[in-house]
Amino acid sequence: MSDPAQGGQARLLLSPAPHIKAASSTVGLAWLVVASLLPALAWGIALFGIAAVRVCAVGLAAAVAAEALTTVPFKRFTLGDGSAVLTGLIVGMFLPAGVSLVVPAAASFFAIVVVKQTFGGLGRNWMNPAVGGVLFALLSWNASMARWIPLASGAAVPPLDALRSALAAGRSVPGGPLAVLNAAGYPFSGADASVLGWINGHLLGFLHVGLPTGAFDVVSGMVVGPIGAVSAPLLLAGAAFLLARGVIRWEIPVAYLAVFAVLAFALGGPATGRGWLTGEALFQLLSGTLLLGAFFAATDPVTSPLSRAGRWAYGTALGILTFVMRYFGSVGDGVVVSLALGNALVPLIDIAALGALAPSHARKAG
Amino acid sequence: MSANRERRSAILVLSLLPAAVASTRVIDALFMAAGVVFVLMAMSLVLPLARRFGRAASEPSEASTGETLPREGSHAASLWGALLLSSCFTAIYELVLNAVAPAESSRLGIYVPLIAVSFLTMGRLDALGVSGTARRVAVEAMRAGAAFSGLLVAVTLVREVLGAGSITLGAAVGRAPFFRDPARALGLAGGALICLGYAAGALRLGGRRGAAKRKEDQR
Repeated sequence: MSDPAQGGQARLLLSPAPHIKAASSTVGLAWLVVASLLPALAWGIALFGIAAVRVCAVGLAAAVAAEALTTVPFKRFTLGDGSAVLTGLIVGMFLPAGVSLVVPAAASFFAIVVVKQTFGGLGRNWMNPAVGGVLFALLSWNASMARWIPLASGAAVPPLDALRSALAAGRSVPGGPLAVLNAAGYPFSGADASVLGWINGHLLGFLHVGLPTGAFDVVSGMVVGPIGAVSAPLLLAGAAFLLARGVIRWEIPVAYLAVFAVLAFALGGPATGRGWLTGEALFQLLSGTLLLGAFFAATDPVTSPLSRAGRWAYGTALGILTFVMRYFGSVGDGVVVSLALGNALVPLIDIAALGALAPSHARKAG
Repeated sequence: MSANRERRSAILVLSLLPAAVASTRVIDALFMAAGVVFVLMAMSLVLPLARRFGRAASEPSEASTGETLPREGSHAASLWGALLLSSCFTAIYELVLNAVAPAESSRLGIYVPLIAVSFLTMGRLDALGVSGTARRVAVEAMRAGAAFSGLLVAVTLVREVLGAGSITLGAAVGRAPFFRDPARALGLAGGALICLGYAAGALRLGGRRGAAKRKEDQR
């Protein structure tokens, strides 16, 4: 371009991408994600009490300590970027409140030291650190990871083995998992009975259908589960905030949840001893760590594909993997192990979707 | 790090894969290491003799020097022959192990025969086929066996202490429990890969530092 100040000489500016200057930075984005998770975390603490605070605090402290131990000796100060805090927070939110305190400490330490720093630090890890840490915990302390504690209401939850046996025995019983849990003595709240009674009586009565007992508790998040994953509305609100701020892309969670829901509805019935197209898609979507994983772990910019087509393919792969792992696997609810496997597919998806090696890979190959 | 040293480190780590995955207790590692050392040493002693015998049959005048191992021409044939020999020695070790420690033999199972085709054995065969005196080959085999054993026992020790909370050294010594809540993931195959990754990193780091020190000394 011609610049009068340079005596009319053409001046060409060369700079690497991105070319659009914006106020956001890696530091800001990490803290925004932390902020978006806080309401769901607060709900978990309200439900499970001081035990949840202990688990999350230990996870957070271990992540920050591990980050400091692996960076400060090399004169790198990365605690301010918020990534370690985010990792520790997500690790804590994936865990049940009754877990041994060794578990959040070890999971966060593993996430930061092995999954992140060993591969070169933030931006160079091939797996989401929190996902790696939680997977390590699931494989190491499987029994402890299913140690649910009573809700703040004080109603005791039947032991997991009893619930599993009831679900296994009731597979062919009509009514789905909520009916089986109800029959097994799972303590649904009084609010559930009141709200569902009103909805079934006033809104759905004329259609001769009704929502099963427990549906309100599952939707509102008054159930036992991982500390930060029980409240679907608050997780969705946090995700909406991130989507509105442009921190995460919508393609991955939409493809992930849609593919999983379709598979759960179409094939979930036969997988649990019932007919085709009878799967409990909504129950499956709202239970476990699916929403937390889909919006806050799968969308990690470092471990997700670069192109839009790649993001659709990645979300689809995650949906299929989660369905298979949840219905036929034995590692947790299938979300974490699916995310880990999906992260491993990302470089291949990038190569296929971009039609060539990604720039960083191409430089190495060249 | 020189290319040759890096290649040797890579062979060592790759050769450790099946043994490290199979060894979840220190005693397993000791038995696997004993097998590898036995096969390597036996091969380094027998292979030169077998080659001299072969060369003496075809070219008595050259073989009479007895100085070097065969070079390029007979490389492929010698490789197959050496592979056959390593399989024989592995079979001998497997039978002895089955007789002396049947429980350990059934625990290690298919991983013991894999010694015959491990990358370490193949790497040593490669070295034997290219060049070197018999004594040098024996020394190399001893060094490789010692490195293999040391690394395997170290990796297994870490895995057993952190992954099972104990150290198992057989019936004579018993099992020493450390803590109640070990990280069982380290006892799985993935745990072996993680530990081997760090071992490979340590080898590279050591190699680089050694090379830098040698460069400095040369100056």
